[in-house]
Order: sequence, then structure tokens, then C-alpha cells
Amino acid sequence: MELQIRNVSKSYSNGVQALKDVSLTIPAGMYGLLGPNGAGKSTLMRILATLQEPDSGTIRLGDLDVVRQKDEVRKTLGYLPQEFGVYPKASAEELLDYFAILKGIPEKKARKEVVEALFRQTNLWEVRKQKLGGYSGGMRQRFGVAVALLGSPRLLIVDEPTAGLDPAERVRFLNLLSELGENSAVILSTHIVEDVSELCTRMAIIDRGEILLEAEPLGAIEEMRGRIWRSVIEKSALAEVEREHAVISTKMLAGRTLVHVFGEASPGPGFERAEPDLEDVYFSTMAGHIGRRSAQLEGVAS
Amino acid sequence: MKLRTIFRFELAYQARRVSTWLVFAILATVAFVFVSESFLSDALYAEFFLNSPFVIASATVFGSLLWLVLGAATAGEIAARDVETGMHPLTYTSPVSEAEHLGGRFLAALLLNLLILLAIPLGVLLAVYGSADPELVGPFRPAAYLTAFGFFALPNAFVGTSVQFAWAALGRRALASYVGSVLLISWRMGASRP
Repeated sequence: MELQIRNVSKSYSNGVQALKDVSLTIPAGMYGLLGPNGAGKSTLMRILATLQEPDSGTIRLGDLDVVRQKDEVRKTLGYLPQEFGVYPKASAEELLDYFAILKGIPEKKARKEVVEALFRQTNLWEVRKQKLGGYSGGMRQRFGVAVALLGSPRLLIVDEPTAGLDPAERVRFLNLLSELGENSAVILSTHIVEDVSELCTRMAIIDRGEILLEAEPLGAIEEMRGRIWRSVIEKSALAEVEREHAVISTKMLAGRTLVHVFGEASPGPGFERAEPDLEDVYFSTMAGHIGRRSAQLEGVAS
Repeated sequence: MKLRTIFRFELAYQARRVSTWLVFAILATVAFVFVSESFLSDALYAEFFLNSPFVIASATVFGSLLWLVLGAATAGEIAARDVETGMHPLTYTSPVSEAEHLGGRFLAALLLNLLILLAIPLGVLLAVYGSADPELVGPFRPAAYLTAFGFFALPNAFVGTSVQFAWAALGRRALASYVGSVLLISWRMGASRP
């Protein structure tokens, strides 16, 4: 099951262009969509989840046209929105059973098994009889995961799923997702680089509605080898270093500042070669040293 | 199948809300007081049996009007709950047609409102056979109750629920159902003016 997004654009009535000519090919497995807040991730996720329509462009899931055959797509779609609420007076068990029927599991015995398995998988079995109004944020998130997984979807869309989770919940959730990635196309939208580096076999970086880079994380990291330089400097020296070098990221380290600089050759004394990671790929892309933005900058320069 | 599921879920969900039962209790009490205190006889300087068809019909009309305002929350809550609780991204991406989604909810709202309106004949019956002086009570005629319910409560429930439901669904807010009810009442008042 492959998802093909071709030339998708979307503008809102307030003039914001949320997506500009986005094209992506998403195979089965875990796919990370990485970008800052407001980059257009959620708009793309909502369009893929059939909640919105693009102004132009086509989206195909296997043989299905996602824009025109919404009902067919919904039968095989799991969607975990960035934000969602629940009916406060319903118990988790009752509401999950309800969604199971809506998702097309009419037979009672089969439904009972599916619901039980999902509650155990999301660690909600003990609290399944509680009213959802009394659930904590993390529990509600896991309930959303259970709803999204109903009916073994072939396309699973998860939008900023780890934002509200504590570290233990996050690990458990990411493990759950990677199990699913074995059979389905799972699209994980996030602004957290570690989410992608730990899980995804393919990824794209999006900013201001444009895809800046489409790559395999390991390959992209490998390509950065020898081009990332690090130095630990005093905070007061940061302005000068930023003026003279292509600084892609800064971080505090025991009261001093760790800078990462992009460059084909050593920027000078005081710098040493850094072991690149996905964060370097991300910041180099955002700063326009690699990917589509660098091609655009070169085009302007010439 | 899905329509029936939605319908049954909504019925069960509303049965858990205090306000549903509160409206039922208020309507029953009002109907009870309306009949047992013989307001109608006093107002019209005429003698009626407490359970005469005219008294029952009047209680039903009065109660239905009261329901139109008090009971607006039921249809409003059903129509707008998805958006108000923020669950719409989950429900709208389920493979459910609009006809099933809205139809199941509307039918549940309509049946609930009819059940709530049954509080009126209940209140009348309690007044007639619970506390009244037997001399004021005429023979039991089921047709009087059925006619009043069929001719007043039923059409009121249908029109009222439709307007409340539509306003709440389109306005995406439960409270919008009250606006629908108020408009309906003012339009009705305007129409009855000579």
C-alpha cells in the first residue's frame, strides 16, 4: 500500500498558503514528517485524513483517490489528531465498542476480541470501565491510539502524538507505532527530531508549506559526515562566531555554548569534526545548506 | 446497522444526563399543578371535570410550549456534542455516511423528546387519580390523552426538534438550539396576532 501525494496545494481564506506544491511518495513502513510548528504538517495530515480538501493536486492510496473516494479511504484509515476530545460521560469501553461498529466490525464476538486486544495494547485494560471525562491527558491520548488502530488500518496518520506524553508513555507509544509500521503506511508528523531518528525509515522535512528534503534518515546523516563542525565557546563570543560561520544550531553545555557549524572544510582553529546526527540534517536543511532551499538559494545567487 | 448503533448510543448517553430527567420532572410537575389546581376552571369561570378532553389538551399545549424552551438542550447537545467536545476529528473520519451520522442523532433526539413530553399525560394522570376530589373526576377516556398527545405534543416535538437540531448542528454549538426555539416561539406569537 503506497500513498502518492502529487502537487498538493492548499490556501486558507485568510491568505495563508499552508501547502505549496507538495509531492511525496510514502511506502509501507514508518514515515516521519518533520517540521517546526506552523509548517503545514497538520494541514497535510488533515487532508490525508479526508477532513479537508486540497485546492489542487492529487492523492492516491493504492487504487483509491483520497479526495474523491473518502468513504472507501475511511474504511482503511486510522487517524490520531493532534488535538481531540472525547464524550465525557461515556466509558472507554462503551465508546471504543461504538467506534468499532462504525469502523465496520459488526459481529459482537469479533468486536469484543478486538476491543480487548486494543485496551491491553494501550495499557488501558484496568481503567476501561472509567468515564472518559476522568481520564488524564496521557490516558486520553492512548484511547485515541486505540480508536486509530481499530480495524487494522492500512494507512495510519498520527499528528504530533508524543507532545503530551511523559517519557515512559512516549517510549511505549513509539514501540506500538513501530509494530504497526510492519504492515501499514504510518505517517508520523512531529517537531521532535528524536521521534523520527528513533523510528522512521523514511522522512521529509517541511517548512512554510514546502517540502525541503525527502530522504532516508541514515543516508542523510551519512551524507553530512565531514561537513559538521563543533566548538564550545563562551556565550559572549556567539555573535561573532555566527557572523563569521554558517552556524546551524546552538545548545547550552555546562554553562557554555556548543555551536554546530556547517562547512565543506574546517572553519578554523577551535573547531573539531562532529559526529553528525539527524538534528544536524534538520538544521542544515532549515538553514538552506542542503535540500530544496539550498537549490533555491543557489538559483537566486546565479 | 450503523444508524441503529448511533441511535442507541445517543439514547443511552442522554439518559445519563441529569438535565434530561430534570426537564421530565418539571414538565410532569407543571402538568400536575395545572390540573390539580384547576387553573382553567378558575380562569374561565366555568366548571370542567379535571380530566375533560379540554383540560388535558390545554395542559398538553401549555406543557409543549414550556418544553420548547426547557427541552432545547437535548437536541442541541446531540447535534453539537461532537464539535463541542472536540471529538469530531475522530467521528468525521469514521466510515459513516452523513445520512447515518445525522439521521441516527436526529431520530434519537426526536424519540427522547417524545419520551420527555410523556411527562405531561403522566402529570395529568397523577393529578386526576392521585389527589383530586372524586366528584371533579369524569370517566377515564384514553382517547382524550391520545388525541392531545397526537395532535399537540407529537407535531410540536417534530417541528421543535427539527429546528433545535438544525440550529445547533449548523451553529456547531448546543446553545444555538435555544435560539431556534425562541425564533420558533416568536414567529408563532407573531402569526397568532390578529
